Amino acid sequence: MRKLIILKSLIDFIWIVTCIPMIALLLFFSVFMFINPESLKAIFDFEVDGNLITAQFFAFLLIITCFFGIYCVYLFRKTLRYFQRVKPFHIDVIKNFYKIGYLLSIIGIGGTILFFTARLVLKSELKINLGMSPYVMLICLGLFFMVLSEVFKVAKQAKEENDLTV
Amino acid sequence: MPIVVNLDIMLAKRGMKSYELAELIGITTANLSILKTGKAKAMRFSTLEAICKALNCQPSDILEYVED
Repeated sequence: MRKLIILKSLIDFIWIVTCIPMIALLLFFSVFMFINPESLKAIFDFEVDGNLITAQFFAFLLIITCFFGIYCVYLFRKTLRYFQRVKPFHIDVIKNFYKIGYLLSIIGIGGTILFFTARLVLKSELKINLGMSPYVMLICLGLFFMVLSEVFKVAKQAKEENDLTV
Repeated sequence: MPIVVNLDIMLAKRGMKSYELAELIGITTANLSILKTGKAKAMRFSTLEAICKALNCQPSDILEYVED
């Protein structure tokens, strides 16, 4: 249980220190990037040569994926609360794991496509990252959470059967 | 489920109360209720043996197969 307490504390710390300020920051930035287009440099790791409106559109989509990421942390925090209450096979845990996995996969796939397209459209540069990119890791993590959800579903059925064995 | 538990019939035949049987075979009344109402998914041989011993009957007197 000590490991769970450490994990919960870490996630709480990330939630309070990173996620909550990030929500405000992203909301501010989603407006500020239209007022000051120079700020787009903070999102893309390259100089924007192409159409500014397109760059702002890509930046807006990236901000949305960031919100998905924050929602994943929120769901994970909520799931850990069930573990603390010793209810690991609650239906919400299974649903949350599936949602987290689904969202992480979307972020991974969406992020890869977005950065690839943004570089292609805004910088006229074709760059494919075949190595270990963070987005590929996110897809793997998302799929892992989805598998974990299936495993928990099977475990829940086994537990129910065990409880109803007289 | 096509397996029907006729425990209540046997209890009535032997004139025994549920809590008495539960006490005799060493299971909780809640678990015996699960068995009586047909909510049970499985039954241990040890439980069946204890019920048969307590009610002086055969497993077929308690369990019955009825096609859906």
